[in-house]
Order: sequence, then structure tokens, then C-alpha cells
Amino acid sequence: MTFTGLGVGSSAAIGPAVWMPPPLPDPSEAPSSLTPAEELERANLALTDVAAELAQRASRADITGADVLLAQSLMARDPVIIEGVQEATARGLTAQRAVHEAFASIVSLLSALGGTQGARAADFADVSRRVVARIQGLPVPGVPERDEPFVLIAHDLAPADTALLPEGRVLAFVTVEGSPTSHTAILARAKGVPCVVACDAVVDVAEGELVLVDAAAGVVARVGEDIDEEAAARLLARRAARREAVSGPGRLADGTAVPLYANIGSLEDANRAREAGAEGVGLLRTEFLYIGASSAPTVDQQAAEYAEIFARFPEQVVTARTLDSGADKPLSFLNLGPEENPALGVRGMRVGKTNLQVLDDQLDAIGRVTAESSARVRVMAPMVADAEEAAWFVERARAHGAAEAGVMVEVPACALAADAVIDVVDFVSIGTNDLTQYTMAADRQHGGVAQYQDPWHPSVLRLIAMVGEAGTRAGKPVGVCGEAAAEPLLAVVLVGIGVTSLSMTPAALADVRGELARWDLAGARALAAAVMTARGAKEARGIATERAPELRVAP
Amino acid sequence: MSDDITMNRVETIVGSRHGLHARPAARVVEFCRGLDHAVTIGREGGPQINPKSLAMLLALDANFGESLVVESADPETAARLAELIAGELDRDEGVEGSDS
Repeated sequence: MTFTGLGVGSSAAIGPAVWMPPPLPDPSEAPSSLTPAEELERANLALTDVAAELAQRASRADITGADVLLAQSLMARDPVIIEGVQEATARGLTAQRAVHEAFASIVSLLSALGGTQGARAADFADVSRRVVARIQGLPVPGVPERDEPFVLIAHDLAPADTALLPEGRVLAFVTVEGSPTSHTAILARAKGVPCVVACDAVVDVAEGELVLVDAAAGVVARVGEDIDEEAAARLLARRAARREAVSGPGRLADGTAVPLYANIGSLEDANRAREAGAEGVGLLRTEFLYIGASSAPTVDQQAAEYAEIFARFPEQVVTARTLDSGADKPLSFLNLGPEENPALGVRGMRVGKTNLQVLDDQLDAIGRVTAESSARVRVMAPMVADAEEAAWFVERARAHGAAEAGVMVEVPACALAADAVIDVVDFVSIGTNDLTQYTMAADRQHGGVAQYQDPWHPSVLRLIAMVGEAGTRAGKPVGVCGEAAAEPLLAVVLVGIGVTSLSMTPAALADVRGELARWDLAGARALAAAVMTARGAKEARGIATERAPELRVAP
Repeated sequence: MSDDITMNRVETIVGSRHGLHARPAARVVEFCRGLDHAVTIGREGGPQINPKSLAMLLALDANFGESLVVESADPETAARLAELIAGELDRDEGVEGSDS
């Protein structure tokens, strides 16, 4: 027998199954029966052991991984942590509770600073879990460490579990729970590895068993038991061949061009995008220029960085988004301060409006490079609310030398005013992640409402369709650069409602390109029309999955 | 720090492009752990922190080009740490082209 679930992607992989250990509960606050000195010794012993182990692993990891492991080894020996543990054991707490509390205060301190410090907070939290597990003689929670690549099987994965995922070590993901929009699926798409979610029977797979994970069919099978080795190898080859068969620019089976762009945020991403055959850049996140800076970079500094990235895409579209910051993604020099509702606050272009010099410098730098660049440079503003704001931005961008200026449609108000907005811009790009958050009134950062963050929702699609129709009427491009563009079947729906280009993480390009090639425009429209009748996101996805086989023009 | 010891104050400017974060911070911690004398670091007029603590150093959130004050009872210790911080700690020694 095999185990079926929902496949994410179209690739397949074979590897040994490794189960994610269950998370440890927070250590109890109950007073210890040992003396404070005994508890302190237990804690110190574990801290020293973990520090030594991390330093030892750093000595055999590749350069990037080594940096993090070495820093983590320093965290386990941090004098402030050691003082905190001393103080907590003196209060009569157990070693594990003392370590937990000492690290927790540092984690919250660094998380509050955001940016790169926020990422280091995850590293401290990871060290804390290691030490707490060590004290109790339990297996270390978090992604298991193995020397050989493996298939990771988990009940579900949280962002904290995967923040420290070793690059290239996980061949495939399988989760008992989850959905195609869960964190695991998004991560798998970003990494370009096969994934099967909502696969409840997989609990019968034992640690170490060799398994085949076929995302295209949404199947997990034990090699040698459910499928013989030869058949598994044949299937793997067939999946690889199908992915390679479709290359070149994005287009439907009837020849309709759907340019496939990449979302990038660094020079490194730019190289990855080129390797994956991106036809340009649909979203260049410019925050990399500002993160960790105490003052805004100068126009010259910015221009040099842009020129280097633009030069990677001669004759192709490169869409630079102006600084997208806010209380939920703070930058130190802007001094935005905390907000009650960061997602609804001074965010995106609203920051640019209150920090005009920062916005003008950025437009100036981009404008200056635009004329000299061999790329077709476009500039757009994030989180624009209506046509008035769109016109304000576009005029400003053009005054600074922009050849093409547009806006992101992320606020429902902007989608509802699509005709007026399209009228004043050269192009629009729909940010489906924020558009979904604002349409569904569900904070993206709030795990408790994660089920609402689903771009398949017919209400979200209806807003996108309004923008698509306005774009078609005016003959102006309508792109999508959110998570939705990376989901192959949803990409087809988007094309069916008037979206003219799709931009995504480079690893997702092959699957989307492959899926588009199986449809003609009439089929994509029929699929979209069917999906729009759904009463919710789950039903929409179900309708699409059910209707796809008959509507595709190629198998 | 007790007031009856003469403290040596040396001003310095963060020379690492990405500030005293990630790797530069780890290098400062490793350097300070090897020192025989106590040393502190902070902003002019602000609290001084123990640079042997990666947590405190990260929380200091010192960015490229910011001025900092190093204090130690030992003049040479203060000078050496100030010099280290002014250097480009995010640049790889011997490995070219991966300083970003």
C-alpha cells in the first residue's frame, strides 16, 4: 500500500525517513528537590557540553553554517546567560527551568529589536532547547541532524523549526497535518523540493525506512515494500524528465505568453533567478540596502548596488520596489516606533510619504541607473491605497527619471478602484499575501488565524479579477508577485482572470512553467470561472483539483 | 567598575559594514574572552556592556559608522579592542568576495 496526501510541486525524491522529534513542553516552574548548587552544576555541565558540541560541529560545517554554529557555541557560554541561570537556580528553580528563563529573556530582548537581531533570537532559542533537552536526557527537538540527506517527516512544521534547516540536507518534506498553504508547503516550494502534506497514514512509516516521495501524485511509498526499487528509480527519472521537457519563456499551450519573473532580494538571488530561467525580475526587494544600517545609504551607494543587480538582466524587465518597511518589519534608522496594529499602520509607501528624503534618494538612485542600464527597469511602490496615492508616486518616480512607474495592489481599496489606478500607472503588480491579509482581516503574523491566509479564497480572487479586467481594458500589464503565483494550479486561475505575468521564488519557476504549458487560455478561464463559484478557499481548491484533469489540453 | 581605579577610555568607530552583528559580534566576543583584563563597551553617555556576552553585544545594536567608547583599567586592552572594532570584521580573511 502507499500513503496518499496532497502533493506540493511536481518533483520526486527517494531517501531515508527521519521523523521530527516532538517539541518539548516548557520546563515546569515547580521548585527543585535538589540544592541550588546542585541544580547550578547540572545547568553548567549541560551548557558546557552543548557549547563544545556546537563548536565541534562548526569545525566540519561549510562556511555559512559554521558561522551560525560558532555563534551558537558562544551563546551557550554567554556570561549573561550564566548569570541568569545562577540567579534562577538560587530562587530554587530546576536547572532546566533556570536555563529556559535565562534564554527566554534574551530571546524577547533581541526579538523586540527585529531585523538581524530577530534572526539571532531564533538561534538563542535553539540553543536553549538543546541545553534544556540535554539536562533532561531527552532527544534534541528541532530538525534532526544527519550526515546524509533525508526525507523529513513531521506532524507539522512551524517556522521556528525550519529557520535553522541545513541547506541541501532535506530531500523531501512529508507532514501528517498541514495544507498546501501551510508553512511547510511554502518552504518546500521556495527550496524546490518535493512535499506531501495532509498525509495522515504516513504515521506507519518507521524511522530509517527508505521512502519515495512523489509530489506530482501526492504519494509516499516505502521502497522495497510498497514499490520495488527499479520502479521507484523509473518514476524518479520520469518526473525529472517532465520538468526538463518544458523550458524557455512561460506560455500556455496555445502560445499565449505569460512572462515568468523572479522575486529577488540580493545579488545572490539574482544569480539563482538566472539559473532557473527567469525572464526578468517581478519584484526586487530593496530592503537589503537598508537592513542593519544606522543611516540611509547615500544615493551613490544605492546606485552602485542597483547597477550591479540590473546588469544581470540585460534586455529583461527588472521591477524595483521602493522601501517596504513598517513597525512589523522595522529598520533601525527610520525610528518608526512600535504600533498597536503594525499591519494597518505606517507601512509600505506610507513610510516613504513621511520620510520623503529616504524615498526621493531611492527614486533618484534608481532613476540614475535606469538610463544607463541594459535592463528594462521599472519602479513600483508598496501598499498604495488608491489612485490619488498612485498618481502621487508615479509623478514623483517619473520626475526622478523612472522609465516605467507602477504600484503594488495589496490594499482592497486599491483593487476596488482598479480602473482609476490603472489609468495613472504604467503597470500594476498584485501582492497576494497582503491582499489576502487585508481582505480576510487576518493578521499574517498571527498563527491563530493562519487558516484565513489562503489566496484561493474566492473573495481574494474576485478582487484580483477586478484588477485583471481593468488591465485588459487599458492594455496595461497586471502582474502577481505573491505566494499565489508560485502555486501551479492557482497560477493557471490567475491567468484565467486577466493576470499577464507571474513572479515567484526562483525554485518555483519550473513547476509553474510546466503547469501553464498544459493549458490554453479558454481552459484557464473555465477553471477560474468554476473556482469563483466556491464558498470558501478550501472548496475553491477542491473544485480546481477536480476540474483540472478534464480542462487541461495536455496531460 | 570601581571609581578608584583610573579607567582608560578610547573612542572608536564601527568599521564593519554590517555593524556589530552576526560574525563581527562573534569575533569581538572571541577576542574579549581571550583578554586578561576586564573591558566594557557602549555609546557615549550610555550604559557600558560586557563585550564577552554575545547577547549584550547584539542588543547594543551598533551599526556601521557609529561611535562607541571602550573602557578598561588596562590602557593596552582598551586600545586593542578599539582597534578591532574599527576594523572590517565582516571581511573574510583569506577568502575573497563573500563579505556580504
